Amino acid sequence: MAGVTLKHLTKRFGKVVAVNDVSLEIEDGEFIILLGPSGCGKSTLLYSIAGLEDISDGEIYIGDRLMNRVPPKARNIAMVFQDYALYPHMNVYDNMAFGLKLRRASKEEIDRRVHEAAALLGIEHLLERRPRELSGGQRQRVALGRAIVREPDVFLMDEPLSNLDAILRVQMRAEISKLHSRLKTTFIYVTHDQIEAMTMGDRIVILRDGLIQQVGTPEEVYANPANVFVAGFIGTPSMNMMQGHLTRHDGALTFDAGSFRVPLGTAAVERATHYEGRPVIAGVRPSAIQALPRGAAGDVAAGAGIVAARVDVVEPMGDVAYIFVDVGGQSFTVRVDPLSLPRVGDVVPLRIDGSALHLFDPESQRAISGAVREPVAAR
Amino acid sequence: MSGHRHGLLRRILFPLGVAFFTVFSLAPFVWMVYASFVPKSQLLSDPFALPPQFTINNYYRLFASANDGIGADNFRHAIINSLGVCAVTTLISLLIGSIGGYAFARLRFGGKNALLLFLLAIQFLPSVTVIIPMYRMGSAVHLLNTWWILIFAYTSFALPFTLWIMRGYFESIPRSLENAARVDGCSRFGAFLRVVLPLSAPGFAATAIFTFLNAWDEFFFALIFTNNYAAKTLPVALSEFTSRHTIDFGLQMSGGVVANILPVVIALSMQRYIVRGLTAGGVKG
Amino acid sequence: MREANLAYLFIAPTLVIVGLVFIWPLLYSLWLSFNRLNLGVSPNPTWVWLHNYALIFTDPAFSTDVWNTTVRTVIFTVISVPAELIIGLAFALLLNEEFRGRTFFRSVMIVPYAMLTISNGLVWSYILDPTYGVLNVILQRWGLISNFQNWLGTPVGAMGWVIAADVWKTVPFMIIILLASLQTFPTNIYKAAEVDGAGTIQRFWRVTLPMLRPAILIALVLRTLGAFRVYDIIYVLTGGGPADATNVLSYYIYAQAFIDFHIGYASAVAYLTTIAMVLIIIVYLIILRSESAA
Repeated sequence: MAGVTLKHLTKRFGKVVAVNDVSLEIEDGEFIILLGPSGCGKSTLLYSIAGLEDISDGEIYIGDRLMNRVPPKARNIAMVFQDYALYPHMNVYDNMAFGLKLRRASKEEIDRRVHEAAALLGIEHLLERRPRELSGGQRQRVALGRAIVREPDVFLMDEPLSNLDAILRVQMRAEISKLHSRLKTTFIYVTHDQIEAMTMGDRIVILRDGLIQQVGTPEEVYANPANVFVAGFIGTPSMNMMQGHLTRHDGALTFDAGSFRVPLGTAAVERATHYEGRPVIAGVRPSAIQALPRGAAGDVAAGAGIVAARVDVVEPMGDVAYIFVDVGGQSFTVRVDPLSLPRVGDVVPLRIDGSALHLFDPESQRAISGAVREPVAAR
Repeated sequence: MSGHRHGLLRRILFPLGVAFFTVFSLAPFVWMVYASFVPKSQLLSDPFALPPQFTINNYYRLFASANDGIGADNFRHAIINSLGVCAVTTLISLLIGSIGGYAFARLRFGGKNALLLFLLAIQFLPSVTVIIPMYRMGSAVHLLNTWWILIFAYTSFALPFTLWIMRGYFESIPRSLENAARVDGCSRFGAFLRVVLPLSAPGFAATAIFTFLNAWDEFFFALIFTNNYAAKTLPVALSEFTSRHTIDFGLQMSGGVVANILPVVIALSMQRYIVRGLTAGGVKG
Repeated sequence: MREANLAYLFIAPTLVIVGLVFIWPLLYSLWLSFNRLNLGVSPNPTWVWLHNYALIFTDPAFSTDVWNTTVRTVIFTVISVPAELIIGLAFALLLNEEFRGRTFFRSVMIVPYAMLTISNGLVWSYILDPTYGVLNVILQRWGLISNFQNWLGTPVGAMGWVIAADVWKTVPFMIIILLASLQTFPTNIYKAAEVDGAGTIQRFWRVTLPMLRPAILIALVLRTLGAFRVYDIIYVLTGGGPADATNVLSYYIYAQAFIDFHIGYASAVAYLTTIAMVLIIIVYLIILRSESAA
């Protein structure tokens, strides 16, 4: 049982900086997610923590032991790989027992632990089989079992669910979460799938090009994205981004996109006053745009955050529906009630909730203010 | 072409082709075996006499006679020389070639591609160019007429190919397997031993077979570097044995059968490894 | 940096051995070629600069030999390699089809490859023997010849049979490479061609053959270099004769170095041969590069 501390961790491959000055404190027992698009350095970071990659700079602590010079086998970690990495020439039992055999554990001890882990994961009936005889889901469980058996200080997982089909993935997500509550060990989990991140993690570390963009709980990261990248990355469908200026209109601080205007909410006004007159980027989630009944067309271009939009694509998705609309050349995604779907080509009025607007500085891309009241995404 | 059409042409051409192919491939070998079991008198007068008289006299003389002047003892000694040289060559080149192949497959270092290309290109140099200097070098260190100079030369012939094939096999093993082993408790080398090696067994088999067959077959260097039976290998011994027994064709052929039995058996039983090996190295260029 | 050092350590044994057996002799051979060294006449090497090379090109006592030898080597290569290719291709196409016992025949084809080159030569020389050889016996029995022939006794005959013996041994190599390539072709392209209206021969010319190009190229280059280097079969079947009819480059160098002991001169000829082969390799690489770029 141990937490992990990273201090100014940097990893270079020649001239390319894959991990750039990453500092992070992971609590003992925490389920932390490393999230980001491919190439962002999350896997490199994980492999550095594992000791499979030598680091160029910085320090890694597991518990309070410095791990820089310690080889992977001595770090008391266990790892689950994307392609499961089960030893093809051994059966399931031997796969799971491998690490223990190397540490000269007694036969009784090995047997006990393997059976315990197998029972936990429901794979006891597979112990004699070879990996090639197993399905993807079964292999994944064996990989988990191999990690559990070691009783490590830290579990490292490198996109373990990416190779599974959608239904299995949902199932395994829940199982991994249950496993974590049961074992109470530190889990460091790498993924590019934000749904996994949002549903499983205690905290999420969002990475891009080797740099940490934001660290926070799923709620924090959703409600208060620290920059444009995080805002666009978290949330499906992604946040709509608009370019415009902050102006004063009718005495109220307003976001002016040219073809429409949205007055800001009170909390945002406090934080954004010094941006008056300057260009900003505004983001609003599809769920914070409301499609009004056609009768409200009279308020179009009235500036009260109401906009006329032409419907391009309609996507019913069961209990929610999304429409892709065109507003003065810009594309937006809007969540609508599936029971009153507009048709392609219709012009519908949309109301944008000013208090749900996220403002960002166009140059630094950082958030100016977050929304105060934010409809939380359905999990 | 898929076996789709059963045209008349096909029905005739095909079996003809197969028959011709079989005769083509096997005739000399079959004749050699046949002639080794036929007494000299029959071979000289009427080789196809029916019914043929079979005898194992040739083999008897080859293996049972002592120093009676037919040179069979030298021939037998050459068998041992060949076995020793080829076995040691195979072992050493497997060892050296596989660690080199591992370095090319797994490790990052400068000059990788250039070095690989260089090693591959080396194989195409004609033996004649190196044989003269090697002879002088070999005699200077008194290694002529020993197994070692041949082992040395044959190993260097085998190394580029071995390295290339093993590199291919190592690359085909997912890195995550080695990583998993390192996390589970192996050192880098331990992971190599316990995970990579067992999974590369076919590669080892293919290169071992090739190295052995090529070493067994090698004539030029053996001829030049050895002049007594302390180290003469079978190809040289066979050539001398044959010219010594000019018209005793049966005896000649029996020597040939003995010299060929091992490579033919190995090739036939390990045929799929040979194909794999040749194509892995050859077709991929 | 640890990784790179480990790598060099692993590669070092290979480099040492290859260096000792190839690189060093290559350089040594170059040095020898600049020396006058005839073990009978002048047993100590004396530096004569390009004298040996001059002999090769200008002195008629030597240059004609070198020229003729080179011509013979080229003839050998130019005839044997296409022959191997065609026969190998025919057999590969045969073995690519599904028929009963195919695995048996695929094993059978290995036999010529497995047989020792020397033994190959010995069996052939027995078969072709002018007095007792089986070929003579069979042909006479079938009434195709009246007298026993000395097959290896004429220049054309000797060269011809040497080529035949070499082709026999190397055909399996061709078959394996071509067959392996053929096996990777998806079967539905033939069906597509059939649907498009192509007959058997057209399917071969327009579908199979173009797809075989890379394999053919590789096999061609490997065998061209191999044919250029041919030695063993010449030694055992004809000994370079009759009257130098089969005296090819490798054999010539061998004879000059180890029979006549003109070591310096032989090294020079060997070096030029090497350069020629390097040129062949370079030409091949250029072709290969333009192939993959296309």
